[in-house]
Amino acid sequence: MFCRTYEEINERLKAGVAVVVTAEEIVDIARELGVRQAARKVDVVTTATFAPMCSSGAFLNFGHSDPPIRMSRVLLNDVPAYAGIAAVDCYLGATEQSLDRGPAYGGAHVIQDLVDGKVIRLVAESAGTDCYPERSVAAGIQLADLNQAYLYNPRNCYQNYPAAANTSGRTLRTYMGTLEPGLGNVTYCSAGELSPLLNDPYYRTTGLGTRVFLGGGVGYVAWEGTQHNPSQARTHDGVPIGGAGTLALVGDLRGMSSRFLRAAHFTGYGPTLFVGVGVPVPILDEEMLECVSISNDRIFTDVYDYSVPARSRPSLGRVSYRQLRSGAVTLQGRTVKTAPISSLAKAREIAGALKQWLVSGEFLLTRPVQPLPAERNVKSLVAARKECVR
Amino acid sequence: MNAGTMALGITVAGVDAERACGNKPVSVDMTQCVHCGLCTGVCVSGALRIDSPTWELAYLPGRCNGCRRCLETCPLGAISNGRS
Repeated sequence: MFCRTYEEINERLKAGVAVVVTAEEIVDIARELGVRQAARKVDVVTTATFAPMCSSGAFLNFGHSDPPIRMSRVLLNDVPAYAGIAAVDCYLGATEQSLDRGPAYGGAHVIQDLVDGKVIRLVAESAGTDCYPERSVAAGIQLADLNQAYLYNPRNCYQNYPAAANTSGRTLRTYMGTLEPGLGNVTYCSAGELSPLLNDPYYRTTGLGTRVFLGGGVGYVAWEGTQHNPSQARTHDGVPIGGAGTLALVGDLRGMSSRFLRAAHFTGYGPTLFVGVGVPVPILDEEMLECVSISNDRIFTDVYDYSVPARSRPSLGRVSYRQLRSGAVTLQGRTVKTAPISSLAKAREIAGALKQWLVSGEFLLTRPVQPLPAERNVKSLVAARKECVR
Repeated sequence: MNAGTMALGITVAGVDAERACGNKPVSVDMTQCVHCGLCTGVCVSGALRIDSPTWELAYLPGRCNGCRRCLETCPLGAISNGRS
């Protein structure tokens, strides 16, 4: 039985003889050569996505002022950052809104401004302690001034995601974009056959410690992402139908680029961050090649009705990504136009960039130090009745 | 028109942009666009569409009816009012 190891692939990458293709290219290669031959020919397949990922943010360390301060309230360009950690550390969330500019500017914009080398206005306050006597400090900071500045995104790369529509009589403005009334459109958010975890459906090669392309720089899988849900229903190909696995990613902001890390503002929802992620999938054997040869006609998702204000929204139908990418789907006997949220053009750029990194030998594969959970269910919050909350 | 703003200047027969909503066609700054495609979901005139096989945004100002729905939908602020 054919198989190859991480070490063998890395030796081939370093020697400049490895064959690396994107997850789109492998579909045709597998059709042409068959899985058996394709597995022997290709060493690595690159996957990628570029989409709004709200569960993103950055840890920053400012260094100590003189006299020192234990920052308890931190504002960066008037965007609050969480300071309930050590003295001059904070966590800036992508969706945090500016106090003075509202939802059009938020944590995501500060992160992009940092990456772009802009000066950020820091204001920090404290009650003062014997060990940290200073009570307030203000400064103009840049990325180069910080001791540490790393992206830590608790949930990126959803393995699949439901599409969205609206059967009500009014326009809905959501994190899935503008949903037109009367089933006027369907929006969807996945790179489909190019998407990282759709090419590694059972997390065989993507786990803790996997080195990835993150925002234009190098990052790592730090943990399972929040709401990681490997127990989602799957097709006979093993592809989840709807939200399933997720990744927590970490990477140094230095080295990232606003070409692949872009702040955004969804009207009626707020700020968020487009994050570019590329994950290499080593072809360890034929089974792995089978996984990466998945194509859009074999990946399905449900279309949820966002006009129903409930956790479990009703499905209006199940569609393939091939149908979604065709520009229209049929729902309830009607033809409804579709619009993506995830940029396939940028995902392709990332998959191509990662391919070049690998081919040049500057980016080697890492074997996961621990697999992602293969079984887990997402729990829901059971809210107390309002009259019981005191 | 701002530097970096794309205006193809393509007019599509049978579509009068200014009569439809009384507004000028919008301007799309392709240097800010990430080709997510969200704007295409609210464009009723077909002026904004994702081109296959590149999957990049294509804008045909001649088709734009000036409804402005794309302005608030674009998450990057890449779409603005056209010249008055």
